[in-house]
Formats: sequence, structure tokens, C-alpha cells
Amino acid sequence: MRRTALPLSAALLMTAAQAAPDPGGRWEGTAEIPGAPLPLVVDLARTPAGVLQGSVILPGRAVKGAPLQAISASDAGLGFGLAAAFNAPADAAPQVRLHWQADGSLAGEWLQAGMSAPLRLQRTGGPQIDLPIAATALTPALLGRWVGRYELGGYPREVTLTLSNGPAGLGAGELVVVGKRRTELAIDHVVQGREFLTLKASSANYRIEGRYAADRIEGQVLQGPFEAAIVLRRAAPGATP
Amino acid sequence: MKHNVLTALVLAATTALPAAAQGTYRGDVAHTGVLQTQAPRQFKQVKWSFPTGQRIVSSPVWSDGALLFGSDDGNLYSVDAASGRQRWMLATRGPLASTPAVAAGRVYALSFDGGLYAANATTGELLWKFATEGERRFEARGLHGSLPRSQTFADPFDTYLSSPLVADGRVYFGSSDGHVYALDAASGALLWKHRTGDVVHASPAYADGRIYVGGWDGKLYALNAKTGEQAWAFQAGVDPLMHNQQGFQSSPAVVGGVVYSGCRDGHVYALDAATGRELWNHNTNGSWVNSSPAVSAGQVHVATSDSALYKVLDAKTGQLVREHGVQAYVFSSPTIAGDVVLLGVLNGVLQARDKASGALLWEFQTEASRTNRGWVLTADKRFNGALLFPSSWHEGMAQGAERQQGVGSFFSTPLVVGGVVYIGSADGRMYALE
Repeated sequence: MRRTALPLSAALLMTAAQAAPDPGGRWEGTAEIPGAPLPLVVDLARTPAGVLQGSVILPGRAVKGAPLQAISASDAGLGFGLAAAFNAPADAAPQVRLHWQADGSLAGEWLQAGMSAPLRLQRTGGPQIDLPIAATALTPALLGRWVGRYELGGYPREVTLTLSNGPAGLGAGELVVVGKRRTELAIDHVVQGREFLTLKASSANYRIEGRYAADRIEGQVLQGPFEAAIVLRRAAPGATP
Repeated sequence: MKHNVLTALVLAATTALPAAAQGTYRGDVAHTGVLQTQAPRQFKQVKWSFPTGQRIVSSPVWSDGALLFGSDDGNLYSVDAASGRQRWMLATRGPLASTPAVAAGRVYALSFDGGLYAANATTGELLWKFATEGERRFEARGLHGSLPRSQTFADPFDTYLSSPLVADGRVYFGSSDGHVYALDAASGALLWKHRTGDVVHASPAYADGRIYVGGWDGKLYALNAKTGEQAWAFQAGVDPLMHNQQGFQSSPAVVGGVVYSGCRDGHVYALDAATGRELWNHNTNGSWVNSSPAVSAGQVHVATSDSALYKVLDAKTGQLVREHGVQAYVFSSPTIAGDVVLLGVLNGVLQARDKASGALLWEFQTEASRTNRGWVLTADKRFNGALLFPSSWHEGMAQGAERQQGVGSFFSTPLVVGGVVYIGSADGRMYALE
């Protein structure tokens, strides 16, 4: 009897595991916020390592493919946060808590600022997750020191940019901007295309982008709503920022 | 066997032609609005819809089996036409309210962030970016009767940015900074710029070494495509009181040495392309003509805004051949594909009409239009004016305009490839209809 019982319980467990709903796919629905219904499209899929990842589209809020945070999935339901989509700190961002329904849909609540609104999501197709743009390494021709200048609000800024490849083999760098004061920023995300280069300093929401050649990077400095033209040239040997 | 091979080659050539010709706004550089393909005469189903983060006013163009279009969420998209799945997405920093142009493997589009972007059409890799002096909507004091009259208002009905045009290795486009630009298509280097009197949001058309484009100063310009030198400028109506009956939002079509364009001054114009002399005008009794004309078989197809009419005019005389009520404002432009005319309407309905008779063949209505939340539309799909505009004071007009678009308005102009109709909606979705 004992021998029979053990395999039976194991079989039950396996059945339960196999029956766990798969949240992978494209889900669409509307958070019924009173007077301001909020449509959303959620994409969920597992990575080859089995980790659940997702992104969201918010039609009408100019959000396309913002990553989901704190995704949790269980036999009972699904939850995730929307800090990136709303550009809000995690504790102030909307949270979604959903439960599986008999018809395969997910129903629950949209939670934010101490309030809740009903939300139901229907599966409408396969997942189409937007993955962040992958960082790249820098080719040797771009490594080293560059200098340039731009004007913002009538004040000139002198820029010294030092580009390198980090320990992980991806592009990185240091940026020194000298205007009324001196600011040092770490370049932490680099994308080098065949002709176009993008350098980001996430800590200051600061970006330099433009076309590059062996001795010249010509483009724009972008920070928040501000944009200014910049030309960076190879620094003379021994020059200091 | 030889005969079969020849037939196959001819078939392949005629099938390939439309796709190659549909990489630009209005189908070709002269902006005829005529596609060398057949639109469906019956509607079967929505093949797919692709959601973006904001309204779509940009029109789709075709490149290698993909649709390229912008969204007001700031992204330029490439979506596989067969599956409706995204191939790539390029982020800009402002609403992408222009229609892209594809040429020589590159795609060009203008964003409200002030950048004219050039990217690899296959991969989406950014190649270069040209900065204008800034993009914005047309604005004026007391615009359209807004109160207080002493305050400047941005026009909520100034929907589009100029869609670039590529010809002879140059990219041409208008800008809110008042210039018409010509850039080197390969490098983005400025070749010339021509100063106009106000924002330029229409798209230039090209014919016989000249480009033609109108601006919000009420002038339609003919410029030497190589040098930017002005050949002539035609002055349409101006409205110094309310700035309502003024400006070219419509993009011109150039056919047979004649430039055809709608205007917000309540007219459709036909001008001699060589001299700028007015050949005829058609009076719409004050109703804006924001849609761009399509010209085919000696007839001009246009649509009006407030009077909500689809009109067919004789191309030689401007005489009205016939007109049909379409229930709501039209900003989208007629697309002629075979014996069908497609027309997007701001009430969230796409109409397919018989080209010869104008008879309605089929309609597609967005879900938002069917739901009609807040009674934006009347029961017969007209705008419910009594409820739309709360006041002429402050931002009342902008609020009303935003409510109108809540029904999934079609600002976008339809594209047809392989019997499938593609069009973007203010509900943020690109639709594939078959």
C-alpha cells in the first residue's frame, strides 16, 4: 500500500506542475480607472534559462515596450510592476495582481497610490517582447581621448571624452564637462553601429550621439529636453581635461 | 515553354512594381496618390493589428515585405507585412508624425524632436541624423476663435510633420522652422535650404527638376531641386483675424504639368507647374482641404474637413463631377488602387468606394469608434459637436480635438500591397485589412 501511495502522490504533483498555466503570450485588456480607462498590452515569455520576462505597451501614453518589474507567476495568478513604464520609483508605480480564470483569462486589480481598479487581460497571441538595445564593444579606432565643445543656454561647455572597453568587453568611458562647474560622468552604455555612435551616461540621463570617423565624432549632446550640436576631435597628446 | 517563362517574368515584374513604387508618401515622387495595384472590393477580416504607444498619423510605406511607419510614441517601426510582427523599432525623442520615405535601402523620417533620421531600412540601424531648428505646431493669437484673443494657441488640428521625399540622391522636406531643406541622402549633409514665411508641414512633390510644397504662410512654392532657388510662389488666401482660413497642410500632386493642392483657405487649386499661374480653383465654402489630392484619368479626388465631402473634380476645369458625404472630417488622403478609392475618416471609419461611381463598397470601423465612449459620435457617425468642445476659452479647443481622436480617427493614408490594405489609427494601431 505504501509503495502505491508514494508513486501516486508523485504523479499528482507532476500533474499539478504540468497543469500550471503558462503566462507566456500577448495579453490585452483595460484597467477600468474611473473616468479614465487605461488600455494595456502585455507581452510575457520565458528566457532559455526559464526566467519570466515581459514588456508593456500603453496606447495613448507613448509607452512602447517598457520592461516589467518584479514579475511573479504561480498556479494562482500573475503579478508585475510598471515602474519603468511610468518612470516612477517602484513604491509609487502601478502594480498589477491577477488571478487565473476558468476561461483562461486573467482578472484582478490595477493598484496605484492606495487605489485599485478592475483589470482583465485576454490572451491575444504570441509574445512580442521588446528587448533593450544591446550594448556593444568599441572598435580600436574609437578608443582613447576626444575633445569638443558645445553651447547650451548661451554658455560654452568644454568636453573631454575618454573611451575604452570595460572588463566585460563592452564599450565604456569617462566624460568630463567643464562649464560653470566641472562635471564627471561615467559612460555606461555604448552602441557602435557601422556609422553611428551612441554613448549614454545613465546617472545624468545624458547622451552623446552622432556619426563617427577616424578623427571626428559629429552629432548632438542630449539631456532631458535639451539638445546641442557637438563635434569631438582627437585630443592632442598630453592634453588634460 | 518559352511562352510560359515570359508570362512568368511579366507577372513577376508587374507584381513587384507596386511594392517598389510604394516606398514613399502618396505612392510616388509626384504624389499622384495612385497605386499600381488593386484594393479589395470586399472586406473579409482584420488580418492583424499592431499596437504602438500613441496615435498613428503617419502613413505606412513598403520596403522588402515590411511596413515602415511612425507613431506619436516617438518610434519608427518596421513590421512584417505577413505576420504583423515587429522587425525593428528606432526610438526618436518626439512624436514621429511624418510618413517615412524609402530609397536605396535607407529610410528617412522627421520627428517632432527636430531630427530628420536616416536608418538602414532592413535593420533599423541609425545612419545619420540632421537637426532642424526645431519642430512645432502652427500657432497664432486667437487661433480659430480661441479665447482670450490675446493669447497664442498651438493648432490642435496641425497634425502632421512634413514627410520627406527622396529624388536624385537628395532628401527634401519642410520644417516647422520655416525652411524647405535638401540633404545629401547618403551623408545627411545640408545641400541647401529655402526660407518661407511660416511652418512647412506639407510634403514636397517632385517633377521635372523642381520640388513643389506649400506652407502655413499660404504660399505654394516651386523650387529648383538642385539649388533651392525659387522659381515661383503662389499666394493663396490669408486670414489675419483667426488664422483659420490659411495654410497648406495638403501636399501637392503634380500631373501633366499641373500642380494640384488643397488648402485650408477653403479651396482646391490647380496651378501651372512652369509658371505658378492659377488654372482654376474649386471653392469648398470655407471647408478646409487638408487631404492631398489623388489624380487619375483626368480627375482630381479630394476630401474636405468640416463639410465632410469626398469630391471628384475635372482635372482640366475644376468642375465638380460628383461628391459624396462621408459623415466626418477628412485629413487622410484618398488612395486610388485599381478601381477602388480608399478614404480614412476622422470618425474612425475607413471607406472603400467604387472609383467610377463613388458608391460605398465596404467600411471598416475601429473598436473605439464602435464603442463611441463619451458619445463623441452621433448615431450616424458624425461628430457630436454639442458635446465635444466645452468652451472656446483656454485649452477648450484642444480638449475637444483630443476627444474627437478618441474614436480611433484615421489621419493616416491607406497603403495597398498584395490585396491587403494597411492604415494607422489614432487608437495607436496599424491595421492590416483583407
